[in-house]
Amino acid sequence: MLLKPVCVSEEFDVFMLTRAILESFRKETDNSRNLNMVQGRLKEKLNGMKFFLVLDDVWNEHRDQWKSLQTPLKYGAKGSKILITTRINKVASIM
Amino acid sequence: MPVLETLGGALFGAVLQVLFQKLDYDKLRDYIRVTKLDGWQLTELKRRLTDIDAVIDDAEQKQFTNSLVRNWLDEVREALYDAEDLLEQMDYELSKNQLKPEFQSSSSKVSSFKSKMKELIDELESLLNQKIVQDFKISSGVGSGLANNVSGKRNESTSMVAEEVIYGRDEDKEIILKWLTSESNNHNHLSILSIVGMGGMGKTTLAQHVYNHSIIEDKFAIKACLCF
Repeated sequence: MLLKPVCVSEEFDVFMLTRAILESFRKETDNSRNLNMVQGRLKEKLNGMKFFLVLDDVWNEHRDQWKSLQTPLKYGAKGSKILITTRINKVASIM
Repeated sequence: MPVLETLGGALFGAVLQVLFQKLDYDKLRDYIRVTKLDGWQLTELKRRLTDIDAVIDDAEQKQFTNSLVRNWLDEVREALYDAEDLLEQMDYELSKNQLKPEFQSSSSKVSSFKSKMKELIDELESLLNQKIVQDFKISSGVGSGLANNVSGKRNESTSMVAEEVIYGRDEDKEIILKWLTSESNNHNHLSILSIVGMGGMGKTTLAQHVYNHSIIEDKFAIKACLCF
């Protein structure tokens, strides 16, 4: 299976990004209207599932936004992994 | 959290490797002997390059936090390209001369090589003598996979896992695959691995390889990939 990444805008928006992650896992579009809603859906989707997520070329350096993004991801099963590529050392240190 | 370093190692490593190959080139030595170029220069050049190679990994690591190091690396890069240029020219002269019955280069060429070689050695020497170089850690191995392991824990309550910094490229994929199959010993924490490096160093390629690896299908229920 070839890598078909979902590309998101450079603007870091936790809601949009969470939705993009959900869509990428589901392989279908999502119509969540706000962050709460999409986080709930992603939690539900990942709950107890062992997942693997790649975030390619991350630029965002804001710790709060990353923490918010990670909230639903913590519902995945033990052993779930996130692989990040970045040009910024700081990104790696705040993740 | 583990940080995988795939930065300039490939770039500098490749250039240095090419240079070392050329410097070991027996025919190049012949050329130098026949044209009465100074063989000592070649040895000196190699010695400087070996010194550069020894600290380059650490310098590349430090360039992100120190602009002086970045400038130093820029100058080193220039010098390395000059060295490659010069050796290529000598290679070319050599191949041209081999076609002729008598092995002879124009004396102007030879003296120009000689002065360029001297310039280059001086340049590398002065780069190596800069104060900044003293702070660089020396890594072992010349032109090899250069793998160092430096680990340090971050004292942040929010950090997800302990940090581990890995230099070198050869083992990158293996390290990632190992990480993928390792069971996190901390239940509540997400396991995150960051690949840090300059643009065009192959981070994305590496991530793609991993994403498409059969291990993912075997070990994970679902996967997703996002690019920014």
